[in-house]
Amino acid sequence: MRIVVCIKQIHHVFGRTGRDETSHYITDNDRVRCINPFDIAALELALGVKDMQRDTEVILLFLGSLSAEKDLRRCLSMGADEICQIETGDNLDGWSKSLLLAEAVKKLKADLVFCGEKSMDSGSGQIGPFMAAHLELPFVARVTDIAVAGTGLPIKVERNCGAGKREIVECGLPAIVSATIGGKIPRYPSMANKRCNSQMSIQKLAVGQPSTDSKVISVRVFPARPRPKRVVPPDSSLHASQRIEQLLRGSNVEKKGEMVTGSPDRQVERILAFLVEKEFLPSLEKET
Amino acid sequence: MLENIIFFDTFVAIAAVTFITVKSFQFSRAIKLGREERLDGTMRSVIRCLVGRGRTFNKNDGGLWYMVLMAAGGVYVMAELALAIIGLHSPFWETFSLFASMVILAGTFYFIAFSVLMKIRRGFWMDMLPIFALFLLALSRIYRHSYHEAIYEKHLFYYFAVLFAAGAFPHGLASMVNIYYKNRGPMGKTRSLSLTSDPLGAATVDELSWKSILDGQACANCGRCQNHCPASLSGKRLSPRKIVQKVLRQTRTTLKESTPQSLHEAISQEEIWACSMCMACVKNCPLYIGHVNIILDLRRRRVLQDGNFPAETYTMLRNLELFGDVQGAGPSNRQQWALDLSLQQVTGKTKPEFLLWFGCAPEYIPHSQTTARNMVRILETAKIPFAVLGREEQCCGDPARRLGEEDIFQNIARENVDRLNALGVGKIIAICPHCFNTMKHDYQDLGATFQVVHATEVIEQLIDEGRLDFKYPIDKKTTLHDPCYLGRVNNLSGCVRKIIDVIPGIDFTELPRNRTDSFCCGGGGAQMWLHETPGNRMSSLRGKEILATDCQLTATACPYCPSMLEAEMKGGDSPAEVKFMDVIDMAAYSIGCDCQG
Repeated sequence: MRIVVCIKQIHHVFGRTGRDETSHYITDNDRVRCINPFDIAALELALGVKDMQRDTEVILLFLGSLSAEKDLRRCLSMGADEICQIETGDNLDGWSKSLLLAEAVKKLKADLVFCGEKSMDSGSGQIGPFMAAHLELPFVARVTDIAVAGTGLPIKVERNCGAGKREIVECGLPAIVSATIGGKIPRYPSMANKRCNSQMSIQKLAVGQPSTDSKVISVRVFPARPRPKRVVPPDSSLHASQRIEQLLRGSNVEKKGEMVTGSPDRQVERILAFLVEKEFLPSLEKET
Repeated sequence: MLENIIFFDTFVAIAAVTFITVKSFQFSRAIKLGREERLDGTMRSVIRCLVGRGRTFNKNDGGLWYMVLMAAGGVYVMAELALAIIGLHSPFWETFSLFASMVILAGTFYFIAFSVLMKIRRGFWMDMLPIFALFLLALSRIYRHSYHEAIYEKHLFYYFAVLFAAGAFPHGLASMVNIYYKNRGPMGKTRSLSLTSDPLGAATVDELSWKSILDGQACANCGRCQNHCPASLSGKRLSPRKIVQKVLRQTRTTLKESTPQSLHEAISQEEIWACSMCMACVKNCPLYIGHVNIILDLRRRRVLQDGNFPAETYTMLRNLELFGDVQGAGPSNRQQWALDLSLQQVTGKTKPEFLLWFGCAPEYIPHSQTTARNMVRILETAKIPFAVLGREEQCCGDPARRLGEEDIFQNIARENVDRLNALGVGKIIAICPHCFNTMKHDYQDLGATFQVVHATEVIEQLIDEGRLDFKYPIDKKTTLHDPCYLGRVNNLSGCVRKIIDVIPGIDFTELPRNRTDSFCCGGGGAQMWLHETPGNRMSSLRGKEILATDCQLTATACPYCPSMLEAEMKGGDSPAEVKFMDVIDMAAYSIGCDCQG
């Protein structure tokens, strides 16, 4: 069984320490180059399959030039067998990227393709679905766990449908699966693997550039920003400190809900009592 | 001489009686319990004691030869003893001095041959070493005394040697050697590891260092380590005594079955991850056993080779890998607290006397930021030129190293050392005792050329020089919690006390466990990032001790301690009104240069 895991090198922005407004106060030092954590979750799922199935090969696939080589090798050390690079120019949109990846996946004769649900930097979440469209393969999104019976047999995946709901889906092979974080904890690469992989060569895949124009284009991206806050004029009858507090909070109305205090044991008791009261949990007394 | 003899004889008699009593007690208890297995085990151990450690009456195993040689040795010893005692009481035998010397030499060679034969066959040359040493000692004695005395003393040595080798007091011999080979370097220095070596760390007995194996042999099973271990006292499964005893047991099994026994089977994960590396066990061991080295070797294997260790630390290690700090706040967020301070950035051209090294906690944790700010102000008040690394500072790598993740530690430490060496830094002032310890001791293996001092050392020196004026009193009942890596490991508890002495108005009470006997807050050895498993938390034990003193203020000198202890004090059902303050903050307050923190 051949499994391809598509991974992306991202620039993770962790701070805003710059002075320049046009770059949103982000400087070069505020970025760190790493692999998208969703893709690492996908890799962990693939390696889980490799643990259970004999003769399974896990191939890493990435696009573009090397920007986070150290982290790429770390991914390789987690237990992947090969690493392939598709050389392209920069500034491709999701559609073209997925076309290239789809062609590469076809070349690699993959039975199962994993990718992350979305990337941490752009977060468009297009690659998986587009690839599935190009390859005409079934696609399951936001997968947290996977069970593979064998080559040719359908796989069972557990997916997170949001709002705490989970779903188990059966899907025929070959298929494309996008993973989300929160399932398995990615394994820790061993030193022996790190030593082996520090010199491993990266295969270069020759893939023709996409000829068709993109059918889906993102026209404009708005950077994330906090919801605008409605400032209520402060109540002049209040004490100065309360007025400052009111300004900071947006209103002097107490927020709904209650703060659980006390020792951890007591806090747990209170939370459990709340959940039972609201019927999220069956009554504890009945069980015991 | 006669008094000596009586003394030795009495000692031997007492030892023998104790040995027989203990063994017979074990035997009778085994019978009372009626457990076949237990009885079998005890019988085996009695036989093993008589015939030799790790040996049974098995012809194929060479046990018969061992027994015959042992018996011959016994007869020889008895004969020599008789000769000696007769000679001491009648001067007649003095005339046969040449004959006696020959007897001594022949006996010595016999014993050397015997030990070589037996020990090498067992494939464990180390056991042989102490016996060799004894013979050499005995030989040297011949030329100093009359030969009767020599014979007598030598036979005593034989007596003990046979007893030790036979397994009654295996620790007795090994402990002497262990004390000789004790760690003479600083206590805080961790054994370095080459990442290209194979195997990394230890999973079986033979992968441990020879010192750790000797530690196992030397252990007297006295339990002092266990009585001082915060993990054991707080009800964790970890006990340093049991760790060493398990190493000893697995060593014996290895010798018997000649396949290396697994330590992973004997020592559980729960045990090795409960250690906070506070060095209380190492400090309190009368035989200079390095318990922590064994734990560290096991941790290194788990992390580097197996990748099988508590998942809650993954985030911390990943943060170290990506951002170079344990909080994951990123290098560009360093020095955010110091934007108004205009600190001098170190460059290759200017070479100030000191470099102030903040560390991850004083950079990112608010209450420690206050400490860092106060340290800056104290240095400014004393008019001491200093510089900072600014955003180029990184974690010192202490949590990674204590966790066993040597790869990350070495990458970070090498970057730090290269950077600091290139800048030509002479002296570094570290605020955190963990940074201080790691940079002072561990960085030397990586070629560090700089000196490292702790902030309290610098303040003490400034007090001695009279450059600081402590004028504002702190009228509070105060106690002091000694950080492990300052008090115990680096012996600097005096500096902290000196600062407290100088501050006027303090009503100072010592905690019951203080200075080098301090009790860990439960934050070291990467415990800060590990979940504490069943039992009381270490911090709660220390918290109770602090509350019992009825003090309003607790001084510390490490950013970890207040984090751990404050959380303990304020998280309970009845939050206690104890304030924690770093001695640096207290000094700054008393000098009148503190910030409003």
